[in-house]
Amino acid sequence: MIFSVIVRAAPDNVGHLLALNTCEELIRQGHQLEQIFFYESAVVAASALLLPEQDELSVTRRWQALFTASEVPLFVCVAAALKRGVVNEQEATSHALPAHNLADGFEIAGLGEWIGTLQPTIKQVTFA
Amino acid sequence: MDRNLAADDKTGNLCLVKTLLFIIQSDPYATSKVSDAIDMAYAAAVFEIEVAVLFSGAALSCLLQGHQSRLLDKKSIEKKILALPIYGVDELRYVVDANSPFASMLAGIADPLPESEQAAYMAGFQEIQVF
Repeated sequence: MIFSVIVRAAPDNVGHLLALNTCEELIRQGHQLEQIFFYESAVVAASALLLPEQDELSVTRRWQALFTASEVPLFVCVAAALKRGVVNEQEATSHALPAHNLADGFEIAGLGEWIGTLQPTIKQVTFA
Repeated sequence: MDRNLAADDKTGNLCLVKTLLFIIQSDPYATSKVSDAIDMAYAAAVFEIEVAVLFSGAALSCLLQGHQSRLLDKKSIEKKILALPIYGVDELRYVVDANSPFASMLAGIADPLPESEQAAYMAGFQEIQVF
């Protein structure tokens, strides 16, 4: 089965962890994961500056590990990201921002990437 | 007629269309949830997805007229909702809640949906996003 996942829960929300565990499991079971789309506060997971407390897991690193192992695109909604301070180099330049912080493996994208997966053959799963 | 079926422009044959319901139940200004939901609805409609929006609970206040969002330094949710039809989102509904303090003041931009019909209404969509 082909899946597409939308993550809307913030990294410190248990829904975000559930999304991460589910995506890892889907890949482990051999399902096709079309993409993972980060929206709302979930985009904060794409910040390279996110520093969890000691003994807590780094969701950013786990998403990056998932990307490295599977090459499933990690799309981060540009509008949601910009208003939460998650910026890639290109956006930093075009908005004259002093720095950029998008973690490796994540990709800034528009909502069109999510809409492209709204097809009868693709199962959408949302974690909010 | 099933909202998930539409006549093909060229052949006239019925074909499956993607339908998406946004259920908005958050306060309009407490978080950016309502704004994010509407942005998603705009984008989906632009890509010719059949989109509808259903307001319920705390989100009923989204439909009140005369938002003074400037007092909060925020964009007006009222204006964003009014722009939905421009993007092709014509189906705006709200769940009738007789206990809501706003029950008698809701603006005419959305149509009422009796609570007893909500489940059947939701079942008519292929995808649902709840904000």
